[in-house]
Amino acid sequence: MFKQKKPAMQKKEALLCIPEKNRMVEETILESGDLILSYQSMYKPFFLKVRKFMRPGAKNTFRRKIQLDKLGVHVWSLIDGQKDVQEIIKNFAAFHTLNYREAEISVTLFIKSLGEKGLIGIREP
Amino acid sequence: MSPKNKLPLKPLAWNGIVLKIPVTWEVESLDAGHMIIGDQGQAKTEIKWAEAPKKFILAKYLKKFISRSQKQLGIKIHEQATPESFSHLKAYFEFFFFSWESDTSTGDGTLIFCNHCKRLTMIRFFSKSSGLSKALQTSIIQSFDDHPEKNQTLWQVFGLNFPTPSHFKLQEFSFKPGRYGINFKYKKTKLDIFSWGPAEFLLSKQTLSEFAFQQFPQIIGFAKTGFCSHGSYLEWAFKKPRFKNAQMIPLLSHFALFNIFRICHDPEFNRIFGVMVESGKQFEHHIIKGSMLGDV
Repeated sequence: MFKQKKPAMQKKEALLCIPEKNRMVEETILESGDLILSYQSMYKPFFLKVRKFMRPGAKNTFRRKIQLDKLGVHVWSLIDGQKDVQEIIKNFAAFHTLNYREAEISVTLFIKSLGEKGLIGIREP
Repeated sequence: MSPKNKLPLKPLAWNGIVLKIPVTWEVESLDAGHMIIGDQGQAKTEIKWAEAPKKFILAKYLKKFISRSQKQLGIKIHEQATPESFSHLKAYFEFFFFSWESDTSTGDGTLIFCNHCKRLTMIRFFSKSSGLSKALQTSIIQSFDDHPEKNQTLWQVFGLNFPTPSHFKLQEFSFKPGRYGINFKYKKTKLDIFSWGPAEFLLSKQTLSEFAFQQFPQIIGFAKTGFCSHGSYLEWAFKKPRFKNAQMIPLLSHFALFNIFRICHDPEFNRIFGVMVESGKQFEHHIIKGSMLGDV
């Protein structure tokens, strides 16, 4: 009758998930070492209606760009479709001599924001 | 002893208590008199401590503490005999061993009363759910201490390691990724400890001096330099008005706050450490010299 809600994932299970890059994302490295990720994004329904009204032949999508700083670039480079979130945190913490908890909070928040933008997908192990 | 029990230990010190925990364990939750320590998100032990009132009878105080803890933590505590083989180097501690149970978990623990500073500490192990060995629990309890040595309280958490004069009391703390801050106070003198990281990233586009001005725009004047155990430091001593534009009124300029700020980049730890001392009376050079960025 009713669809049963999937139980929320435990922290331990979430850390074992494997992030994978979206193949449609284009990468541009800047001279400063920063990285620009550009990806296709859909207009919000309201704006799409306005665009279609103004220009009937207008596209439904546009290219969105985000710039990653050096720390973001490092996490991005660690996402290879093989390493799970925990391994990425450990690598990141060791490279920058960070405390594991500190690295865990910043890396998981960053991965979450990448996921929300559709730049990565998360695969369960 | 099995190899499992020979886990390498690391020191942990917070607000008066000191103990050793396995290197893989991390502080999961922290408060002035409470902490939960876990391993990869799984709680391993909980520590709770409180100062005893000025006048008390130990048996009654223990009973009250146990009943309060049972209510707060939703557990049932059962008294147990002290293991025959158990001993502690410090004679001023009294140990009361117990086992506990809740709806979801069970474990062991101990209440430690210090006859010297009258502090009561409860260490509760999540023994059954996390498979903690008795030997490891014993070595953690044996490493426990709650006494500041040489009138200095030790702080050793999240990679920080510094002493403070024991009369300075903890006011506030925050451990946000990239920026740690712990604030202490004694009478009208404030002592603030900072740690920023990763330094390599923070200093990639600016100097240490620029970083200091970015963090504390109220810094005035030129910095003097020196050497501390973390490397070379920059130090500013400046007067800060008590409120905005107070310096416009000559009479109020006498009531300015005396600030000393010392900042140091430690390449080995890839962090920037900072100490700020603020006093209403004078520049407190002796406090900064005795801090974690003290001269060598």
